[in-house]
Amino acid sequence: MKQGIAAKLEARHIRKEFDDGDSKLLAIEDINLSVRESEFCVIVGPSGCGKSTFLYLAAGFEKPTSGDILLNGKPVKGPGPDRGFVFQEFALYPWKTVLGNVSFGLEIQGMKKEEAKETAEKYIETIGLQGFENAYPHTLSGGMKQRVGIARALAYDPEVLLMDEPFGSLDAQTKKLMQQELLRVWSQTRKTVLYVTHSVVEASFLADRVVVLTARPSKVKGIIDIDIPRPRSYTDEDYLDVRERILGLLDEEVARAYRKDQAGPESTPPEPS
Amino acid sequence: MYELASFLFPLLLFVALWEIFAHTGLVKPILLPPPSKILKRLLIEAGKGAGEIGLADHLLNSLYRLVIGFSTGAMVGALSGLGMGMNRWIYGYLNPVITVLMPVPGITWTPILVLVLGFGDPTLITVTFIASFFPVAYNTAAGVRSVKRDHIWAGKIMGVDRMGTVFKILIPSSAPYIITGLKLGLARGWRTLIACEMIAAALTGIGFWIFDAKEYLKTDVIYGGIIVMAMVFVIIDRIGFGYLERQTIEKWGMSADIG
Amino acid sequence: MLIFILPLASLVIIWWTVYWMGLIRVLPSPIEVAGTMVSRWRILLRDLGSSAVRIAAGFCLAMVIGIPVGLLMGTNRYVHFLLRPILTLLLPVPTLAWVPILLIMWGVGDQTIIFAIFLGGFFSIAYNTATGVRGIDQDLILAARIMGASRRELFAKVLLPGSMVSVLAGLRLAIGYSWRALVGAEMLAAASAGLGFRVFNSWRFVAVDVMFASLVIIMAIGFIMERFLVEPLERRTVKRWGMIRV
Repeated sequence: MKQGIAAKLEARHIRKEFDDGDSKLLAIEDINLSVRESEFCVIVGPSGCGKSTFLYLAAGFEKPTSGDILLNGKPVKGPGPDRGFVFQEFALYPWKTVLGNVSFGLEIQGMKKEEAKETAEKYIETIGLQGFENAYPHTLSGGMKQRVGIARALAYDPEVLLMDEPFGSLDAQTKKLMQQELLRVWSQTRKTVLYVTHSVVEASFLADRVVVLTARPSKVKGIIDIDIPRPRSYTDEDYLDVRERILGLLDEEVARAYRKDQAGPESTPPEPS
Repeated sequence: MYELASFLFPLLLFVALWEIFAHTGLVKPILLPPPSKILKRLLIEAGKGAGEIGLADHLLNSLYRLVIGFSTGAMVGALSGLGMGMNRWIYGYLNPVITVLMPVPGITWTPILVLVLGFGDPTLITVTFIASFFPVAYNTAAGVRSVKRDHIWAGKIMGVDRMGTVFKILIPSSAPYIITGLKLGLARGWRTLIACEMIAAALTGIGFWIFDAKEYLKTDVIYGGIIVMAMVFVIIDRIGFGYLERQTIEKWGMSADIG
Repeated sequence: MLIFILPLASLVIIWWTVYWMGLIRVLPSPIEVAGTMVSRWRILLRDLGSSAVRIAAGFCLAMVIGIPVGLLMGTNRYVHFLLRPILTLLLPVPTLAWVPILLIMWGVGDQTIIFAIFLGGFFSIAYNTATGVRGIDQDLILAARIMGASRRELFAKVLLPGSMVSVLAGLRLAIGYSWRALVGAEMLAAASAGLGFRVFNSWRFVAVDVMFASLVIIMAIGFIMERFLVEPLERRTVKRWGMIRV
């Protein structure tokens, strides 16, 4: 890991426990993470390991049980427009047009209507949906909807972009297309991205750095830097090599998670340190 | 346009058959007056000038009570539903109350209200208020409780504050439910109002008009009143709410089902 | 359970407070009303019995006539075309609006009341049954036909089960409408017994304790019907079909 460069987004000893009165669930045991400016960082992990939960903590939707999350050195206190979030289920507002959705964040910030409209239109063009400004979300395909979701999150120029399995609801072809689209848009803005997925293929295709989490309760199992220049090819040797390495780390944890589920949700088998 | 025609044609056919049947004398003319007679009666009543109480007076009085009773009932209902959807305690208190009181027939409240408020407008408006309140509150609560967590979160991260969440997210998101509640509330309000006018009106109102007519065996008035009542409702429901639905939930592709 | 009862108990407390403060002259105290329910239980029970018989008769009639009419409408395009506008128009008419005509025809008495209850339930049962039948996936009917189902088999094995959800929805509405019709019709047209009659009668003589006692019973029964008849019915269909009704 390159030393000396200040972290854009930092997580220190994050621990998250859910307590609903009847039972406790330790989702995240101890995550430490540093994301650099303009870095595309992807988190992978077995199902239920808490990777989405971690993203919610970074977004401020939920608070960690202990530990800090720092953005530009300042602690995150709750959700706010210095971050952008893209949801797996798009979460577009059905009663707003594409333009309305994208400009929503800008209007909340107090931007004047005309200015917000102009800015939103620019981002709509960036994601390739010019002409659809006045369409309602229910008329759009899944891929188009998520493009709007990305534009909406980017429109108010947040410091980091948080993405929660954004292409998980899409079919295989659309997914591939969208991954390329995302990289294209990203290369224009070079935003710091924290991206969560369960797909190793996707992670190796997109990321500068891949963080592999253990099974629940999660810790960082390993971090793999990817230096392959983009656009990457699915058949390139280096790419396949990286994919194998990540898969290697992940498979162990997936097996572990599976065994744990078999044993019952409360059991925590002893871990070798 | 075809829809309108296919709706009207069977009705006109029915009216024609009725007319013929009424003239055959198989049924006592008192019991089943021909539509022509009913129409004549309606026109006479509609044309009554000042000094006499005509159709216009009855209809306007009923509508006046409906408008006041329904709008206040709907507003209080919507606010209650909103509160119920947003706050656990409010829900915990109001939900059992609504569950128990909603199935109570509207007219059941009338005797109590008459004892307290007397005959006439105050009682009738209150009854309409009560009848409209419950469906609106119930459905609004359901709507607010079904708002997606992601929608609220998306707003929060863009910087929406509490009030903003209510007006910009909760209410539009619950629109299908709220509109359903309003439709049901209006239907209930209208039905209950007419029924109560029969037992508790002062001197005017469609319900009163119909009930009073029986004393004089004026069946043409009774049938006429029923027809007027049905038509008023269809107009308000289809045209009024139809327009509202087209402009909102249909345009947005939303419906009151899950998903 | 407790969470449910506490808010209701608070209503009774509000009632008692209003009484105690003397804001409303004629208002009886909850204790008085409870006492009346106990002391006059014989009359009230007889009223309950009369009402129960009437609504049972009226509702059964509505089912027996409403469901076949609905099925006919659902299966026959011409019948549907002809009857639908009339049903749509008459559905929102309050049942009580029909009572004056019934009074002219039959005067005061059970006949009028039962027919009023019938009218209350008939429209929603017929309308919903028709909607249910028409909503059945045409493929299901074709599949049965190809397998050689006779008319009767088609009816019993495809049409009836397929339209169940809607039919039950209609029955659900009909119970509510019938109950309202019963109370209203009894207030206007009962001769001597029945809960609605009791309310009306005691209202005229300002016997508020009896009036309130009967009202409470009416409210209680309405609630019990909703909770223990309608909701289980609904839950069984909702569970099967995975829909959530508003």
